Amino acid sequence: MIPGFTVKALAISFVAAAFCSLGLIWYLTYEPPVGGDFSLTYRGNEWRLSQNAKELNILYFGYTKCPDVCPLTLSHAGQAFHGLTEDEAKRVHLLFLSVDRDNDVPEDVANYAAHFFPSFLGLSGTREQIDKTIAMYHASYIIEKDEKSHLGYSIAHTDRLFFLNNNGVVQATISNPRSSEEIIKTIKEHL
Amino acid sequence: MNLAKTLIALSISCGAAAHAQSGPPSLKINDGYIFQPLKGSNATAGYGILKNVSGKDAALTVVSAEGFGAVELHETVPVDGLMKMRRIENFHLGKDASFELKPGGNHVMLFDPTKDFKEGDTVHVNFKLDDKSVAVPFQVRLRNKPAKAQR
Ligand SMILES: [Cu+2]
Repeated sequence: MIPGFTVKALAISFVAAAFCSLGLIWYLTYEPPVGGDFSLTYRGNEWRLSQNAKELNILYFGYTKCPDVCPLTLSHAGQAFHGLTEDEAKRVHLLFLSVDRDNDVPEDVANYAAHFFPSFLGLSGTREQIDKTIAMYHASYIIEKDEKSHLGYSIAHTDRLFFLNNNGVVQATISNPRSSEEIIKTIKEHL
Repeated sequence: MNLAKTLIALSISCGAAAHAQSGPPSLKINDGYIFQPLKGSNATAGYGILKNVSGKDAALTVVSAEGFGAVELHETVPVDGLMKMRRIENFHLGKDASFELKPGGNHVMLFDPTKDFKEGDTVHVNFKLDDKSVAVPFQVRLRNKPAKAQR
């Protein structure tokens, strides 16, 4: 056997092995981007993310008759926005999408969201638009009949803030936000 | 006045006395508050720490609240990653035990406000400990305090 050939063969197999393991690592750790463009309505008018996106778009799913979790998260977000500089506050907004298609009037959703911070947008949509957006962000909601309750139903839903870039791709998320500080921090990191 | 009338009068005055809750309260609240109902929503929530000071174990139920169409006790629980709200029909509250209502957990849920509420208003929520009525005061708070000058 020629020694030169052995060295070359060894080198080739080493490089090949390195590429294989790199590929494997990439394969094991790669996460496809979550999100994209979506179409909804605002106060009854068509509303598309790609036409209205800011540098940072925070998306939240809920419903206006949710008395506890939604307003808790939205008020922390509202407080966070009050802690931004004027310039920062112009480059980010929050989108509150009501999943309660049957009971939430678009005007109510818009007024409700704006209560937490003037630039918060309360969005609605057809059932199909809502479900498409929900699926795009791997979120979910379940409308449950509850005859024992005055409202007659309740909606279990994802309690998570999704931070999207101007293409709607998720940059970060915060589950069950229970303080405004972590929201401010995440906003500033992505502006 | 015949006997029947006297009895009726007596029972009415007893009923009235029970309603006015003469004697020490059997249910106390620490830091009770209700968030001012928001435009666009017909529901809001009340929080605080309720304490059974009746001297015995009892079942706690909520009956009514002044200025609201309906009121219920609820809990918020995470189920498979979703936040879910469930009605608690009655809550077993041991003697001297406390029941904490706080955002993201247990709450008094109030529906269909029949009047406008301002910050600092007191709303009496009527509970029952077993079959004894007791009214508990909650202060109205704003959801979002107006922006502080932070800029
Ligand atoms: Cu509730």
